[in-house]
Amino acid sequence: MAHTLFLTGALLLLLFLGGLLAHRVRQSLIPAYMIIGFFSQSFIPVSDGLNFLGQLGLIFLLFFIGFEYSLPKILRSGRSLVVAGMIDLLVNFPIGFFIGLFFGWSVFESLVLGGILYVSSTAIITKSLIDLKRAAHPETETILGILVFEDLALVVFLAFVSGLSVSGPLSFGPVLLGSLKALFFFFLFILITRRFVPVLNRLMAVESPELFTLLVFSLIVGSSAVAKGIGLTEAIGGFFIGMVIAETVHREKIERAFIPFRDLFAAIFFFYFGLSIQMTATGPLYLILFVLILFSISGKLASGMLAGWVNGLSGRASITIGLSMIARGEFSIILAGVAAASTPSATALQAVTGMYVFILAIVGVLMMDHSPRMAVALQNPLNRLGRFLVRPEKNLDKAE
Amino acid sequence: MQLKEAELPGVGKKYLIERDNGETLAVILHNTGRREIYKTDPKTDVPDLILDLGDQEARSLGAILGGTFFQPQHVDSMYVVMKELAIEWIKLGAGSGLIGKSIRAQEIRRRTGASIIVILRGDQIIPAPSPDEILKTGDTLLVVGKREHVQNLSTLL
Repeated sequence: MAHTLFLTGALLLLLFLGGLLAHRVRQSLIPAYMIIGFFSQSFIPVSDGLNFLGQLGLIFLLFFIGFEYSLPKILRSGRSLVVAGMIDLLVNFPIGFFIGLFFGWSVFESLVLGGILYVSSTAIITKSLIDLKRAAHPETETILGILVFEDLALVVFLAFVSGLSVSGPLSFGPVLLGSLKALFFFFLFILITRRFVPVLNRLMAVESPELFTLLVFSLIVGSSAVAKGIGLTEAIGGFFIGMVIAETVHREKIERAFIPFRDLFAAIFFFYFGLSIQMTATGPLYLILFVLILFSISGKLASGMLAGWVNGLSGRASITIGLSMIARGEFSIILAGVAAASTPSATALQAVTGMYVFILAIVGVLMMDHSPRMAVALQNPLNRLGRFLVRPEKNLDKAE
Repeated sequence: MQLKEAELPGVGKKYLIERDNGETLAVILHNTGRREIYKTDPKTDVPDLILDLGDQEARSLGAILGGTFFQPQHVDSMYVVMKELAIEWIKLGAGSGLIGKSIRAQEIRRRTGASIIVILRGDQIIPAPSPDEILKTGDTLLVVGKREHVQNLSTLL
């Protein structure tokens, strides 16, 4: 017992110191937590206790994503973001999927890899936008819109993936069953939101802050248990209960009381992910990592510029979107973690994702930092390329 | 002038004010309570940060801009009404009939029912002025009374 307490204390202190260092060099905390986990492998054992705390972190991360993205809010900012979001999805998801297949991974692992590569880090990018004083830039609306779209797409994808949970070749049966489960859960919660928000309002109006905390905690964990019970990931349960609770009148109270829980448990989740990375196979992993990073950066640059162009933004703004979408983070790790939990053979996937997120989280922040200058530098050659590509079509138009 | 509103998920809210001179002002209300004001020149699309305020600072500034706080020297007339009671700042313009005579000589309280409790004269503040105080052009009077009393005094101007 004393030993466990000592290890937990040491772990949290390490996370604090690492986080502090990351903060000083203006980097995100997520890669810092993960790398500390990775280098703690020699003296902190993988344990069920840590795993459980990490799972709570996963649930709380998703809870607050659901909480942020209440349905009316999404519908209000909707429309134009759907087009930008679809471009982003159609360009970037297939890249990861086909790279996975090319390197001989299973269809399931390749699908997960597609998701890992597709989803940019909402946490890292949003924080950088605020820190760099770019909240008012015209392209920021599009960037945040794409991030919302990605997160929602990933929740659906996560439900789908966790419903599959197979290690062998995919067949029609489990795919259908997985989709049905996710759909069932989705409609269950829409029904609950409609009917039970007034009930929740009354139930949650307990005066004692202690009882309030217990009640909300039990709702979050209970919902995760239901999701897990029907064979989905617990994270989905967290997400949906977050969406429901966000509709109640107790929003602000919950934010104040539960963000500290998320911050603590999420730190342990990222730490645990790093802790459980197994670097057994090495050779081809570095090759696939290199290919992934190369294609991730070019893919996001291309989709970002296209999205900006479609939304009628300037060349500078469009390039800035591409440069701002490169950071990967929490959701890539969540996906790899969920896949690793359901398929024991996914160790390569986990190791690649760990290194991938670590590199792109840092590169992504640097790219955002330097994007004003890079956008100017890229603008002229891209304009020339654009004119070169577009000119033949114009001539055709004239010929007609 | 045009006002637009946009949701910034995860950040807060954005209000865009397109000014008549072509500039665009963007006000960001962060979820944390911070407010930022950016200005964009018509020639570019890169906003410059011109103000970064905490919640309390922003509220004070907003109240001043909205005219709730006041600088009496610049405001001609302002009402604060609490049920029956009215407090008004009254500025004496050049042609006002009250100018050049003392408060006592004009029997202001008897004729209108309102009391002058402060006179602002340039940088000088005269609280509870004596009845012999002679009113001058450009004085701003803080007047208290029932609503109709204050209105009576306004008509004397």
